[in-house]
Amino acid sequence: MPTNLLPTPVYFSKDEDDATLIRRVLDGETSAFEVLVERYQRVLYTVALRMLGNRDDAKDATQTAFVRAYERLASFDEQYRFFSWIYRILVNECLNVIRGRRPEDELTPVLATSGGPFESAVSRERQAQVQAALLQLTPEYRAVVVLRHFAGLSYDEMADALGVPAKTVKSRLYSARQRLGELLLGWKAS
Amino acid sequence: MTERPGDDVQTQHEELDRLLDALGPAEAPADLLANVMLQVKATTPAAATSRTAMHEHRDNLTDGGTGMGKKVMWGLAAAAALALIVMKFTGFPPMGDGTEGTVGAAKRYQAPQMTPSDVAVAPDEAQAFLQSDTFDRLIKDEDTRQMLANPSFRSALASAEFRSALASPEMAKALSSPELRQALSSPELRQALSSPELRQALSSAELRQALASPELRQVLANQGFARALANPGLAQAMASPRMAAALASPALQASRRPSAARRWCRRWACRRDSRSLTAERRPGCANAPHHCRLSGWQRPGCPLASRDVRATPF
Repeated sequence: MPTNLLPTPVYFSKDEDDATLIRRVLDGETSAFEVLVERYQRVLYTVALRMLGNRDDAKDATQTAFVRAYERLASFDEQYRFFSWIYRILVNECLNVIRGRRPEDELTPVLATSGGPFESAVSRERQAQVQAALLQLTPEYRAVVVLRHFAGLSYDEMADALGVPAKTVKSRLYSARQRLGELLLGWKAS
Repeated sequence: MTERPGDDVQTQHEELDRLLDALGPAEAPADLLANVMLQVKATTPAAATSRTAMHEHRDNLTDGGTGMGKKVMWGLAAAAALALIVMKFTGFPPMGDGTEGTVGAAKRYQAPQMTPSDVAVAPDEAQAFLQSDTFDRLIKDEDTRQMLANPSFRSALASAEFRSALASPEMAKALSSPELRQALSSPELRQALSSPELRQALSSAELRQALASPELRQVLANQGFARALANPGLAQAMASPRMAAALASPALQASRRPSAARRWCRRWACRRDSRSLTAERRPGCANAPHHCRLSGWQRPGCPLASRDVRATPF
């Protein structure tokens, strides 16, 4: 497994103040939770969108994850990182949505748009292919790819978020990347 | 090992990362924050949640968020097991008033079992003799039967003295001796039964008391039996000293004991362990075969044998 593939965690800010915010919320300052939501909503929504491939489902899953985190905030163990904890809640919520889907439900890849019409068209086409490839992965493989590339979590953080050992995370990530290479770049499986 | 188009694995992974990065971050909906905070303010304060809830939540997360933690499932299983145990050992919860007797076992009639008090044994000596084993053996003897079938012997039995003598158990015991039975079968003895001496010998107070028994009178009233008693041989035998000695024998006294009468009575009341019930059962009579058939006698207080007694020809 290449070691220089760690993405830059551009979507979420530092979490050194998360514990302080949580204590303030537990002391009754509800507005402190707003800071946490504002801090993590983008990355959580991105993860949900890549996991579910649908904007509405991603929005609902993200909202639900935040509300559940608030309801159980008193039970949060401070020895864990808050974002690992809330990622775990979100991933499980996404898995529930995936399990609840009917087989005939079609997913339309949701893509970001930028640039001119031509670039946009090319970019949209390419993004659609990547999103479609992601949705072809199993939920477990999809989760590790999304958390790794779109949330920038380390193996240990992914292990905490998914509730599996780090070795399992590495194995799943390798297999998931192999499958994506076959789908997107024509890698041939032996 | 995977075979890839490129010549460098590192390059291939970088290309894949670029493709994934091309998707880029997605902008959260503008109303996401507002919606979350709106729900949060309407939710139970976070501080109200206990530390224990965290573990429950972890169970919930571990099982994929199915909504039921392991503790909840184990608690339900334990409660169900407890309820089953209580129902098994204590029955269903007690019902209220008004439900008594709605379901119950049918009350069938059960006839009361016969007890020793139901069997009344009269102190009458004649009854004791008729209910003894001695009389049983005597009545089964072929010679005795032939004698009883003799008309003259039956006529002798019709006399008052002889009836008195027959009422005595002692004399009946003496009748069970082989010598006497042989003598009774002779014409001479049958002739003697009609003699005044015999009648005189038989006219004791005990025999008269025995004759007072209605059961014995019923037996003696049979014409054939009365004619047999009229035989002179029987009268002679009855008048002999041997007969007197036999009448005073201990064996004859033993036959008068109440225990023997009770055994007889129980056999009469269909106690099937008696040997006498096996051989001579009357057709259609399930109770007391040989007694019903031969004695013509109905025990007082014994309802089982009455129909057989009346139906049996003597």
